[in-house]
Parts: sequence; C-alpha cells; structure tokens
Amino acid sequence: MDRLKIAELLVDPDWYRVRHGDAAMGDPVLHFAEQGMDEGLDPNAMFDAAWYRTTHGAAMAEGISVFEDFCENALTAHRDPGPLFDTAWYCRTYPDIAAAGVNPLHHYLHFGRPERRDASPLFHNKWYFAAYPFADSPGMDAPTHFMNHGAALGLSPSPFFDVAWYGTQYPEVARRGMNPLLHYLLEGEAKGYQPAPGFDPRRHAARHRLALPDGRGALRHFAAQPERRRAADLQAKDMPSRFVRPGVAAEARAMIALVGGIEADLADLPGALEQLPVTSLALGPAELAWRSLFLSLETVPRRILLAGHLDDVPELADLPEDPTLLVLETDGSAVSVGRHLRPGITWRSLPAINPGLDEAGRARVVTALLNAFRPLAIMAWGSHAGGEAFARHGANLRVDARLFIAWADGPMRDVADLMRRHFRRSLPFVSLSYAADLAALNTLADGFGLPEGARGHFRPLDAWRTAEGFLGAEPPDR
Amino acid sequence: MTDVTAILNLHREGVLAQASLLSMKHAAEQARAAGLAVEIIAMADCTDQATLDVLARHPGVRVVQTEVNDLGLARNEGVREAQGRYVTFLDGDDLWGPGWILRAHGAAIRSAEPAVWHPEASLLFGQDVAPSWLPHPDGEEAEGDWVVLGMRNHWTSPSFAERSVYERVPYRRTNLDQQFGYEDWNWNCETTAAGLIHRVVPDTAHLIRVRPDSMVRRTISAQSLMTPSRLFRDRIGWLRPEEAG
Repeated sequence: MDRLKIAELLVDPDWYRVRHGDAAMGDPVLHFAEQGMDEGLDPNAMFDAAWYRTTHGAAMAEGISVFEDFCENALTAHRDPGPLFDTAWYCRTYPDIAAAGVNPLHHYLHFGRPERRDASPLFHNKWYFAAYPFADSPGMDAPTHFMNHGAALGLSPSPFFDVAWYGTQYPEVARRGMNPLLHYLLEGEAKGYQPAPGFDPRRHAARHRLALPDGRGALRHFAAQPERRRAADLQAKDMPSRFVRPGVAAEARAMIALVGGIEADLADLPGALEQLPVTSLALGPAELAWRSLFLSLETVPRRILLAGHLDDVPELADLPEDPTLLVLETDGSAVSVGRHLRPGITWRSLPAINPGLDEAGRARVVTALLNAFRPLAIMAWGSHAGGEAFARHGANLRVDARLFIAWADGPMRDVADLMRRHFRRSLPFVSLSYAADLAALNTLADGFGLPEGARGHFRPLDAWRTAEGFLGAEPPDR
Repeated sequence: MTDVTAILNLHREGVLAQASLLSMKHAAEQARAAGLAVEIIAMADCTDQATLDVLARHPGVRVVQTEVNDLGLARNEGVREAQGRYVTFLDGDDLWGPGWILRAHGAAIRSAEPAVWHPEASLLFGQDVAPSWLPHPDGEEAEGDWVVLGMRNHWTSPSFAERSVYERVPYRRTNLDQQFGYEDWNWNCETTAAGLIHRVVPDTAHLIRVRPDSMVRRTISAQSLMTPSRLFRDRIGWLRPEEAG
C-alpha cells in the first residue's frame, strides 16, 4: 500500500503534531509518510506501534510495517491497533462501517470520535460525561479526556473500570506513574488483577468458557455484553419527560365522542386530554438496583440469606461453599467486605449497588429477587428488608420456601427495633426463629399475646446451623 | 378466514359492559370497512343476569359462558373459541379507541418479528380517580427493559397477537389468598421468555376504568406478588449469543 495512503488513513494531525512535532514539522501526514513511519512513531492516540508488533508480529508478513499490516488487515482480520481500540467490537457495534468497507480506525478518528462512538467496550462516552459533566465540552470525547486528564484526576473511563479503586488495590500503579487502565490492560489482567470491586476476570472467563491468551480480554468481554452497556446507558440517561402524542389523544377523544353519552365517567373527562398528567416511565433507583443485582448473578440461587450488615455477622463463617447459595447484604449505606464469608461464597451488597437506596426501595429489590428465583430456603439475619418482605409477602413466599429469621444484636443493628417492626407481622409465616436470648423472644411474644402453642418454632441462635434450619431445609410440602 | 377475533371478558360488569361492547363494535366496524374479517366473542365467566341482559342487546356478538371464575383462564377459554389468525382482548369495563383493531393488525402484518402489540397509551379514568395517561414503553426502549419486568409490569392486558401466541403461552390462574396475582404481568414475562418482543402500535389508545373493587386494587390490597415466571431463571447469566464478545 502506498505510504501516503497509509498516512492519510492513520494520522490524526493535531495529536501527531502535539505528540511528536515541533514548529518546523510541516504537514503531519507528509511527515509520517516520509519519516515517522520508518521511525515507528505512533500516528494517533489509539495506535501503539510497539504493542502492535508484540501482539500481532507473529502473524505479520515479512518486510512490511505494522502500519501497512494494520491497514491491510483491520477489516478482514479485525486486528487491534493498540490496547485501547477494539476493532472487532467497533465493527460489530457499528455495522455501517464494515458495510461501507471503511478502515475502522480511520472511521473512528474522523467520524466516530466526534460522534462520541465508543472506541472499545472499555469506554462509555454517555456514562463518562453524565458522571463527570465538568469534562464535557464541544469536540471532547471520553477516551481523549480520560487519557489526557481524567485518569490523573481519578476519573473512570466507564462503570466497568474503577480507577480510584484500582489505584488503592495496586499501589504499584501510582508508584510507576502509569495510567491505571493501561496498566490493567498491559500487565494487570494477565496477573489476575481486578478492574473493579466485585469483578473477578478469571472467574468470568471460566464462567463463560473464554479461551483468553494470558487471561486477557475478560473485562472486554464483560463490558461488551449488551445488557451491561445498557445498564451504563440507563445510569447515564435522564429519561425525557413523556407526552401523549396528539394522535393518541385523538383516538381517546373519538371513543369518548361515540360512547360518552352513556358513560358519565367519560363525559366528565376534560376536553384537552393531551394536558392530563402522564405517568413517568423513568426507571427509579430500585429498578436500576434490581437490574444491576440480577445481571450480576450467574447461577440461580436455591438458598438466599439476607443479612442487614454482612460484616456484622461473624456466624456466617459457618456457611458452606454452596454454589446455589446467595448472600445479600440489604441494609444501611456502609458496604461490607464480606470478611466472615468463605472465599467461594457468592455474595452481593445492595449498599454497594446503590448506597442511597431507601428502605422501601431495598425491600422492593429483595422482594423482586425472592419472587424471581423462588428459592427453597430464605433466611433473614438482622435484615429490615428481609423482615419487611416476610411480613408483606410471607403467605406467598412460604409456598415454595421455608422462611427463617435470626433476631440477633450486632454493632450496626438494633434487635429491639427489628423485632418491634417485623416480629408480629412475619411470625405467622416463619418456620423457625432464632435468638440469642430466647427469654427476650418469649417476653416479646407475651407482649403480643402470642399463645404458648405458637412458640414451638423458637430456637437458640446457635441452632441455626442444624439440619432442621436454613442449611438443611427442603422445599415445603405442597 | 377470520382475520381477527376480538374477545371481551366479562364477569359481573352489568351496565358498564354496554360502553365496552360499543367500543369493541366500533373498532370492529372500522376494521371491517378496511376489508378485515372480524369476529367478536364475549366470554361471560360466572356472570350475572344484568351482564347477560346487556349482551342480549348485541346480536352480532357470540356469547360463550364459562365457570372458571378466573380472568386469565377465561381468556384462555376465549382463545380456544377463536377462529381468527389474530386475537385481541378487552376487559369488560374498559374501552378501545376506534382504530385499535385496524392499526394493531396493520402493525402486526408489517412486522418481521413475532411480537405482542399494545396501545401507545392507556387513559385511566373512573369515579374516584384523577384521570391520567399511562404510556406503554416499547420493548426495545430502555423504559421497556426486560430485566425491570422483575420489579414492575410494563404492559396492560388488552394486547394483540397471533392466536398461536396465546395458545403457546396461556394465562395462569391467580390466587389472591396465597398472594399470587397480576396474570397480565406474568404473561408479559412468559411471552418475553418465549422470545416475543412487546411493541406499541402508534396512535392508539385504550381507556382503562379504575374501580374501587377492580382486580388490580384487590391484588394490591392483598399484597400479592406477580405469579412467578420462568423468565429470570431461564435468563440467569444472560448474554445474547449473537452479540457475545
């Protein structure tokens, strides 16, 4: 391929001039064609010539430059020009490019970037500028801002890579002055580093049976999933107000004209139907939290333990590593680290998903979870959200599940408050109740006028591990 | 060959059924004027004499009496009676806009994918409610997201689809004593699990009457949950194969 043609395809003149140039450089395209190409200079922010040779060198033909190789193979072999641009994903996400036979990187530099199309699943323009509105300015795109300013400011390129968290976990990155995302892509992922809390790339690769060289590419695969990207869209998107269109109101008006004479309820409706209030369809925090929680799960849980504050329950160290067990932290805004849980236990935290979710929202998410999976055993351990779900929907939940409650004090929970709010309403549906102080449980039962015969399912707290409890529960008899 | 079967589900609506029947007949007439063959079936489930008296004043309506005592199961009975390639439902005290059948049919036959069709919006009205619009999201929009179906229902029950859809995915019985309700919500989940997309028909409206003793209000009062669906168990770890990285 002609050198000038390659330069025209790959050079980003402004970037090239700033990165390599001097006042006497002249035309960057000509400079690259005549000199820069031979010196191995990168022609734009997405091309890493050294990385390209390391990554694709074995597949390259003899005697051609990395730039020529890329121009000849970008569309057909989907070779990436550097770690920040995903050629295959870009072509798949924006099929108009492949259909037009355009070099994907050239398209990105000249059209995709100004349109804020994403260069790879690791970037998310909509999310970035919604999260960091101060970064938004005409002509600016997320990768450019992130690479030039954002990473240094601790901003994340997308919800899939947490720059601040990564820096805390792996302090070598700051010591070496590296961009955290590049560190992860070039070194960290191969070492099994995590890009964000709660995401283990090796586990993800195993779960999806991904054949990944050096373990690299799991995050990219994760972030490329349409549901993940949609979640980021939803986080970023302020839902527009909905209006009923004139054609819709006209339909209703036509029917009212036809039957309103015999329908007093219709005759009372105002003439300007377009001005009636419209129910908002915007997804609220509880809906978004449910969505995040569901999409984070990879197996159907058969036992669900709802804990108010996970790190507040040392007894959970006795939980076995059961792949069908899910532990969910439900209350408060402090996020636990799961220090009492064995490493193989699947656990999630509503405060981690959204620390601002109110109590009603948390109860709604918990209820959706229980109804979606219909587990065979549910334990609420110092959990307001769990207690509320039992109290409101116990008759329903116990059709498929045995319900258990542990009434136990802890540094971050007040058992008296839990009991006052949930004891009486949930008790009719609960198989077994556990308490450190059975006498207190009986006193409370006295206060509520609970007959002696209804107290047969009170147990001391340490009995929760027994076969008759949560861990050994079988489905209820139908 | 019948193109569309319009099914009106009745219980004990009495005189309120009159306006519903008229709205259905107007919609059917508009569709017939455009050349469609439309049949109307009234499913009278455990009904009363007042409602049967209203039906008797409409000779063009085929009345089928059932004793299933359940709205969803009565819809299934209606599907068994239907002859049309497409089926659409109306509950006995609600109303369709006059263009519903024609426009929904037009959208369905133009669609390349199997879909369930809903009105663009429903106008909620009734003696003790402030009237308001309830828009329906398209299943492709963020607001119509399938995961969110785990927490809220996106679409009301007066839908339009090929008869085979209702045969393949029948409605489930509700049981408010055990807090299992929302047959339409469950059906929306099950049809989604079956690979159908829910779409809206532009420029269409339904009028939904809200009564103090309506099924929705009784379901809310009973603190019922949606009758469980297989959707979320089927789609755990969901990844659309064609878009996997």
